[in-house]
Amino acid sequence: MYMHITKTTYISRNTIWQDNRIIHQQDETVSYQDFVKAAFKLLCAPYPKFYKMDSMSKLGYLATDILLKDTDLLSRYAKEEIGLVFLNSSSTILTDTEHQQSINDRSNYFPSPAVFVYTLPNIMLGEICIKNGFFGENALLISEKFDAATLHTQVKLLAEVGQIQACIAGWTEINEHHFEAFSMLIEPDDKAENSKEKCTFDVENIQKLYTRKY
Amino acid sequence: MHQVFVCGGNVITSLGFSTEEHIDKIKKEISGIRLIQDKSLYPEDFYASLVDNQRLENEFASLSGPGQFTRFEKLMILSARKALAQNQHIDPASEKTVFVISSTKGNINLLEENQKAAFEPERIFLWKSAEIIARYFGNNNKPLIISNACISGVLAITAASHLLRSGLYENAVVIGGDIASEFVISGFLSFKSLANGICKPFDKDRSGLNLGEGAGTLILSTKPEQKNGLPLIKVTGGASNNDANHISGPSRTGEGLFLAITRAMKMAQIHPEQIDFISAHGTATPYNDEMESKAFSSAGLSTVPLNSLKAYFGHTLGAAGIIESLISIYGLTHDIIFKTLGFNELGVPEKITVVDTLTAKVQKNILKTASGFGGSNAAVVFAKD
Repeated sequence: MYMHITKTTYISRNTIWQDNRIIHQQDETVSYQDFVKAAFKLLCAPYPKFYKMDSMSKLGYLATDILLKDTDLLSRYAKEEIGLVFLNSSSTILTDTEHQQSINDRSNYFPSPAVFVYTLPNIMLGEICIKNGFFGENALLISEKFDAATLHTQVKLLAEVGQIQACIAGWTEINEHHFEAFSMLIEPDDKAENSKEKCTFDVENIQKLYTRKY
Repeated sequence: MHQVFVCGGNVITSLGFSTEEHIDKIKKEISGIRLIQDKSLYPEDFYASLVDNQRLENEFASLSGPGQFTRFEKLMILSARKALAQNQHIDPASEKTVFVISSTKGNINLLEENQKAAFEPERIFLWKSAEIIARYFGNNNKPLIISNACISGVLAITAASHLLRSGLYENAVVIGGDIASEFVISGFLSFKSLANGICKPFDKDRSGLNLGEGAGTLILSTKPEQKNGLPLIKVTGGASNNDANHISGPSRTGEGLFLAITRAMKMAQIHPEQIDFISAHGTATPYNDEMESKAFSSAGLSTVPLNSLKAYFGHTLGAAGIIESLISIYGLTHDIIFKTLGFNELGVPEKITVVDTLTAKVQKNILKTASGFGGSNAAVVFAKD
């Protein structure tokens, strides 16, 4: 099946790129939490659930909400034909640490379901599906580094066996040192919209879009 | 497109260290769930299914090979070793073999203060332990690692079958596992989702789930070897669907699971009346079982015999889909259906046919489903060749 990458979003170093264009930037001294909140207020429609999400889900939310700005996928694809395939390296280590801290001390023991649920990395996919009304395939995969070949294979195979039409795929990594998100919209040849970013969905192009000078 | 065959596997839980030990105990209606009084796991008593640690250490020590391994890795490696020992025609070190690893939290116990010094910091990450597991078997391909909550195991089988179907690999060693840790136990207890006793899937008095730990290995190949005149089993379809409803509660309509079931059947090119048995998720939490009944009913599967194996060895999280598939594949191979331990009287809103006694039934196609946090649902179809 011939597919295209039609849009991308990249978030890193307190900067957000929509396709190849910077749309939001803050000084790198601004904390992650302040950065994502400011970006959300500026770039996304109001959505109160955003504020209760953990750091990973917030990152995935931003990376997909900005990617899909002015794109109504549900007008072109059945809700169960829109898949999500994401990679990350550290799973939900920040939230894991937060949950662990709530149980380290038996005299001050306060595990919370609101924190614990976010120790599953696929919760981010659930949040994206809830926001957008997507009912398609979900796969949260772990990889030490960004891996264009794994993303390409997994999306391509789902399309080949007929389980997806369109797919949002990418990488969302957040740990105590840094955060980085890359997302792309992948669409089949017969339905892909024309866009500046439009290029063949292959390993080389994924790699190129991820590593270009952001 | 290649056909994908099941070559066998291994199961390790509280009930034993082989598929056969599990079948034997399940036939005898023995549960491995116990009242656990271990303050290192949780300050209060709770019911769970735990792997015999002494036996794990002994059996692992008898394996050759250098290296320091965590408890999670020992379970995974031991399970895969046992599965591979029964399938000598599969070369785990071959470039045509891929390892697919399924776990929700892997080495999460290394976050505990007293565990931190035992291993290098990056050992907490699944990519690291997956790499160690694959390298143990001399495999240099990059393992595919799935961490998708409670559907991880079913998703891993489906993803592995896609890889083989396309011809990218000839064999897949699909290993799923999770260990009981204070991290996970305290989390589930904070959700108040654990049963105070052995769980009762689909029963009117069900009150929650039991956590279980374990590992399961399923070996898939495009080049099967027939054993002892037993029929060959194929993976013929698989799908996952989100229900886009709530991150910690199942959909009230079951639409996500319904979609996964119907799309897995469509891929397998079969109709609901061709499904002979369903291995349900059946955690025994009130909302999960209710949701499953709606999905099975909407999919036209109300009269298909169905069981849940959770009362035998608990909910083994990232291993569940693999362990329960292996036991159901044994049933498919030998034309038997195991009883739903803990079930007495139907307590879900839609009609489903819960198997409450060991039943002989000729089977051709069976369905395995799973649902989990994040609104995730998955289904896979196995067929007798």
